[in-house]
Order: sequence, then C-alpha cells, then structure tokens
Amino acid sequence: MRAPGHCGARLLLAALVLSLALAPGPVRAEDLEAKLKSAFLLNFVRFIRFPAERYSSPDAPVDICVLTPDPLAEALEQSLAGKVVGGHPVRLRRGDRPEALRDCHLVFVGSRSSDLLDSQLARLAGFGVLSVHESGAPKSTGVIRLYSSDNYLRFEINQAAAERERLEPSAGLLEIATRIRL
Amino acid sequence: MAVSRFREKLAAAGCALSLASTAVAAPEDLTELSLAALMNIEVTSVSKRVEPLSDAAAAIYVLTSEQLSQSGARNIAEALRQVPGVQVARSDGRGYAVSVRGFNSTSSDKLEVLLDGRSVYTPLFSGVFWDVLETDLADVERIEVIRGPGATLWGANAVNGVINITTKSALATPGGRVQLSAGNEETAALALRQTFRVADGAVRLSALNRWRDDSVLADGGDAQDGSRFSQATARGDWEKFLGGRLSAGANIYDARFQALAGDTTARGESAQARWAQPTQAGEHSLSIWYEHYDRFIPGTYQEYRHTASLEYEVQHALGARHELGFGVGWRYTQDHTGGPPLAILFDPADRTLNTYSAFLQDRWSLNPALTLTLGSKFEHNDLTGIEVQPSARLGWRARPDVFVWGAISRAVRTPNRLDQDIAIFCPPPAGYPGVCGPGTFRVGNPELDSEVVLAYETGLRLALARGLSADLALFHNDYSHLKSTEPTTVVGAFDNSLQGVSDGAELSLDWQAREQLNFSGSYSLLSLRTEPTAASGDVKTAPAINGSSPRHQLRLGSDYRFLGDWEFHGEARYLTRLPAQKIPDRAELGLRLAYTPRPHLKLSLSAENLLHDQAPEFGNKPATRSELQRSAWLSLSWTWP
Repeated sequence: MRAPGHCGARLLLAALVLSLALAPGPVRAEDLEAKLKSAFLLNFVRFIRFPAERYSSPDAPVDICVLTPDPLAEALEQSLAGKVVGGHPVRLRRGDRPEALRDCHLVFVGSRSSDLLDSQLARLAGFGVLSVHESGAPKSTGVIRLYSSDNYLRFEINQAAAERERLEPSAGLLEIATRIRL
Repeated sequence: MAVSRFREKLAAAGCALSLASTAVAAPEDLTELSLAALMNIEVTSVSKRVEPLSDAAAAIYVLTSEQLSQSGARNIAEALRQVPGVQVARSDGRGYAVSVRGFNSTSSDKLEVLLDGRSVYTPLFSGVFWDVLETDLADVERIEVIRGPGATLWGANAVNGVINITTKSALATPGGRVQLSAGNEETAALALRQTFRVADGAVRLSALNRWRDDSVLADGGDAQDGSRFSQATARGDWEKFLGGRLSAGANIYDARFQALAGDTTARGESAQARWAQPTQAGEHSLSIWYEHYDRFIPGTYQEYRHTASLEYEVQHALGARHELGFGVGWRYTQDHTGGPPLAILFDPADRTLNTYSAFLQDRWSLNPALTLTLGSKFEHNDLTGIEVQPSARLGWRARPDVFVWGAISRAVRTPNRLDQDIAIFCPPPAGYPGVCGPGTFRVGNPELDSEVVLAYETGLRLALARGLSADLALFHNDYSHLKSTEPTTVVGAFDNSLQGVSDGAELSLDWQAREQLNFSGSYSLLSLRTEPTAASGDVKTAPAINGSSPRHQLRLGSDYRFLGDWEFHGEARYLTRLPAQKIPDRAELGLRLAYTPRPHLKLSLSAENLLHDQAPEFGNKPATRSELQRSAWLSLSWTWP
C-alpha cells in the first residue's frame, strides 16, 4: 500500500494559515431569516397574477406592505430597493392598521398572537390582497402561510382564499407550495 | 435532472455572508434566487447559527423533492443516478448495485443508508435490499448523499458514503394524492396517500403497489424476473408533544419476485419514532426503531430477522465557539436462517448480535470563517470488540463565494453474519458438479476482522457567476484488511488479505440560466486499485472489485419550464466499461415531459434507456443476465386539499 497522501495535511495547514489573514464577519441567523423571507415575498409577487384592475397602468408600482411594528420591515427595505417585477417597480409601504393597507398587492402580517392575526387577516379579506402570515397552523382567511420545517422555510397556499381574492398563482408556484383549501 | 439546488444554496450562503460583513463587498442578492433555491437555505435554530449545507466540510449532495419530482424517478435507486459520484447499475428486473467511490456489487457493503433515521442495510451482509427499499418519491422531502466516510456520526458501514432519505412531515402534506402509472416495463404503479389531522398534528397514510414486467436476456429471451411489490406506510408528526416534537412512522411491505427456480418472497414491517426537544443551548433527542423482515429464495436461502435500535443524542452549544454533539446507542439484531437442503447456510443457524455505540463531536469555530470539527465514534460489537472511528474536518469560507474544506477520517466495516458464518451446502450424492462434492463447506471466517479505510479528502465550492456554481471533491482512500476469498477449500474461505488505494475526483456544475431553465452536469473519476497481500492466494477478488465500477462517469441534465404549465426534463449519461462485469462503455438517455393542465392535475410521459433496444448494466454472465429495455411510461397524479 502507498503511504498516505500528504496532500490532505498540507491543505489543512495552508487553509489554517490563510484564514488568519481573511475573516469575513459573522452572519446572524435572524439576518438570514429576514432576508430569506424578503426574497420569498418578492417571489410571491413575481409568480402570482393579480386582477388587471389592481394596476392603474403597466408601469404602476407593485405595493409590498408590512403591518407594523415588524422587524421584517427593515430587511424588506434593504432587499427590495430598486426591484422591478413585470415592469412594475416595487414599492415598500408600512402601516399599523390593516384598513390602511387594503390597496396593497401583498401585505405581510407578522403577528404572532393567533387572535390578533385572525382579526388582522379578516380585515384584509375581500380586497384582492395577497396576505402572507406566519403561524403554526393554517388560517382560513390568509392566502399564504410561511412556516419553517426542519429549519427550512416553506410556504402553504390556501387555494380557497386565493380564489376568493381573485389571485392566480402560477403552476410552478403551486408545484412547490404546500396546498390547502380552507 | 438535477437541478442542483445545493449549488444555489451555496451561492446563497455566500451572499448571506457578504451581506452581513462589510458594505465593501458587492452583495449578491437573495431575491435573485428562485423560490426552490430559497426553500433549500437552511436556517438553523440550534444555537442561532446559520448552517447552510454548503458550509459542510464534506462531499455532500442533496436531491430535493423538486428534483425528484422533475426527474420522474420511479424509486430511490433510480433517483440516485442523478447524484454525482454515485454508481448505480440495475442488475435485473428488480435489483440494483449501488455504491459510492467504488466497490460496486449487488451486495455492496460499504454504505450506510437511512430512511427517516432507520438504518436500512441488513446486518446479514451489510448491504441494502434495494428491491424492497421503496417509498412513494412524492412523499420524500430530500435525499442527502455524503460521499466519503461518515462513520464518526453514523457508525460502522459508513465507509464510503451515507445516503440519508428523509420523508416529508405529515404536517407538510395535507390533503390527498393519487398517482397512476403505466408503461411497457414498469407495467403499472399505483400510489395513494391521504393525510388526516390528529390531535394538533397530522398522520399521513400511504399505499404503494407496483408491478414490473420481465426483462430480457441477451438473446432476446424472457428473463422471467417480473415482480410485484406492495407497501403501506404511515407517518405522524406532532409539533408539540411532551414539550418537544414527535415524529413516528410505520411500514409494512410484501413482495414477490419471479425467478426460474421459484419465486423469491420478501415481507417486512418496521416502526420508528423520534422525539426531539429544544434545550437552552441546543436540542436533545431520543430515537427508537424496530424492523422485522423475512426473505425466502427457494432452494437457496431463508432468513427471518428482527432488529431494534435505541439512540439518544444531545447537541449543545458551549459558549459562542463550540457546538458539542454527543450520543449513545444500542442496536440488537437476531436472525433465524434455514438449514439444508438450502444451498446457503449459516453456522450457527440462529444468532443474536449487539452493538453499543457512543460518539462525541465538537464543531469549533476558530474564527467566523474557519470551522474545525473533531469527533469520534466508539463502538463495541460482538464480533470484533471495540472500534474507534475518528475524523477531523476543516471548513473555510475563504470568500463569500468560495468554500474550501479538507478532512481526514478513519472508518471501518465490521464483519457481518455472512462474513463470519456463511457455508455452502453441496447436496448428496454428487454435490454441485465442477464446484463441490457432497458436504457442507464453510466460507465464513469467525476470525474475520474489520475492513479499514483511512480517507483523505478535500473539496472546493464556488459560486462562479450569476446562477453558475461548481463543487469539486478530491479523495485518496487507503484500504487495509479488505475481505479476500482464499482458495484454501474447494469453495474458498474469507480472510482479510486484500489491500488497496483509490483516488478520485467528483465535479458537479449547476447553471440556473433563467428562472425556468436549468442545466447541470457532473463528472466523476475513480481509480480503484485493490490487490492481494503477499500472504494471500486470492487472485480473483481484486480484479472483480477493480473492474466493477466505471472509471469515468459523465452526466448532463436539463430542466425547462415553458408555456407556464409544461416542464421538460432530459438526462444523458456516459459511463466507461466495467471489465469485471463484461459491460462495455455505454451512453444512455432519458426524457420526460410533464403537463399541469390544472393545479391539482399533472400528466407526464417518461422514457428511459432510449439509446438501446436493450442493454445490460451489471452481472458478469452475459448469457444469463437480465438486460434493460427501452421503456416508456405515462403517469397521472391528482391531488386534493
């Protein structure tokens, strides 16, 4: 048998020496999670067709909104700046009442309290709004639920709610989503 | 094929790092990744660390549920053809030879294979009965393949690789689904599932039935190896159970494989549960599983086996820099085998074996970019006593888009029932003419020791440009005490008198050209050189090992979504010859077209082995081995909420 290769040991040593010179900053899980969620939201707007009357002109902005206070607002601001979806520039808006956000295309409702969430989602229902919420269990009034499964972010589309809001998710989106009908 | 989401994951990880470091580096943008890619970015809650897979200091590849769905793969072994560096060859109407980094055979014994945490290789010969490792791939969340030793965590048998199959949580598959397929080779398949809400959680019940046609012989004759496989599976998940998460499953199968000498039958049941609870600084978990199977080949062999396993694991962050992992486990296996006139006997005919194990690992962040993982598994088994399997792994994120790793590991393959106890019964009055006279001849060696590998690995992952990423792994393995068959008796006797080295490289590329268009490719090089030691008279085994895995494997794949609801999948493979199997260089092509006319309805047409009317993949007897025919099948799936 040949003697073990020295290559492995040399590599380890080289990596060790080089690493002392280069050290990127640490990433916090919360940062990544917020950025991930922002990217999910943008993709939802990309792959869900809104009723034509929701845009006043072909280059009217698409409004992605956050019900505040929510820590996601800041990450959204960074991630979505300058984005354009299907010719519509992305505009981020915040509001502290659902009623103020009924003309938004997408509203992110980050409330953790189930009762509060129920009430907020109910106040957005019927206005053609793509509501996105996070909770442990599906809500009949919400269109998309973001949830984590084994440390991965997943999403669930409530098709009954989507139809009610006259939103048309693309086949590709439905393919990778968990689908429910509540 | 193989949209390698894993590559995107590393691009994403790179971008996350760059965003979080200084504002100087131009941040790549998470929002430019596809949703499928985003779904593969892991956010670990344990100790609040980001642990993207691309920061794993190992050669790892993940087949996602999306890839499984796009490829239309029909079973787990077929799905593994997409994974770089894995050798998959179908040996007959139902069986497969699957290995990683060489040593391929239908009884490959250097892989650990897990299905939802349950080890599915048999203690009989340390290999997998691929013909009964079935699950509806629509229920599979992901298949992780680690090439190279994984013994520090997984234990003996994870010598050349680990295949970890995880099914979807029942909470993630509400509603129901039915899939019907029909084709010329895969005659018919029916998969059905329905999920029920049960006490804050969910339970999914699945059933699978599959009928396969006979394959053909080289002369066009019928190989008479058709089969029928039936299985029912249950999985339940509860997010809140005694302060933790509970996942439990059960499985029962029954199969009949046609053969000239009489049909082989295989039956089995298993049950498993895993409970995990978050702690202040990590998580602890308890896993338990049980499996029973029996298998009968008329005139040849019979086996009943019970295996049970219990494991407890703790993950614990110690300060900001150390993540400790610790675990203990016990596995019990008991078998009954048949006596004469069956040709394959075991002496003793019944045997119970226990394995006790513990592992300890520290993942040490030397600085934010550099992580050293040190650990070892300690195992005690009834056949060889104590085995120590340590490893050291260093991972270095050199730049946001560059990750370099290196590892040194020692792993063993402990002897199994076959290695130590197998005997051949040659029936009176004549025995098997030309092989043995009448009598019982022991081939197994009770003194047989573990096979050992020392593995040196290094790898590099790069995000090359927008959407294009690369993953390269290089390895050198040093094997000693490999099993030989010494010609000391008419049938031979096992000994540890082979040794060898392997060198190789595995490169995979992934290019997400557009949101709807992906190209992937992989190439693997394997140079495996085993040889008998000076003390050995076994001149046959080494050439058989060396010549049963392709030296070069090339694969190209593409996925394309078009017109909104159509998808195309194409996959071409080229593999060089297997001299020991008398298989020439070969190329193969598979295509699939799927149409989703309504969100809940999907139709697909798949075809494989398109380049040949028929061709063999494995089996060293050209006149009697099965050959694969060009095949096509139509599939329809319907889901409901």
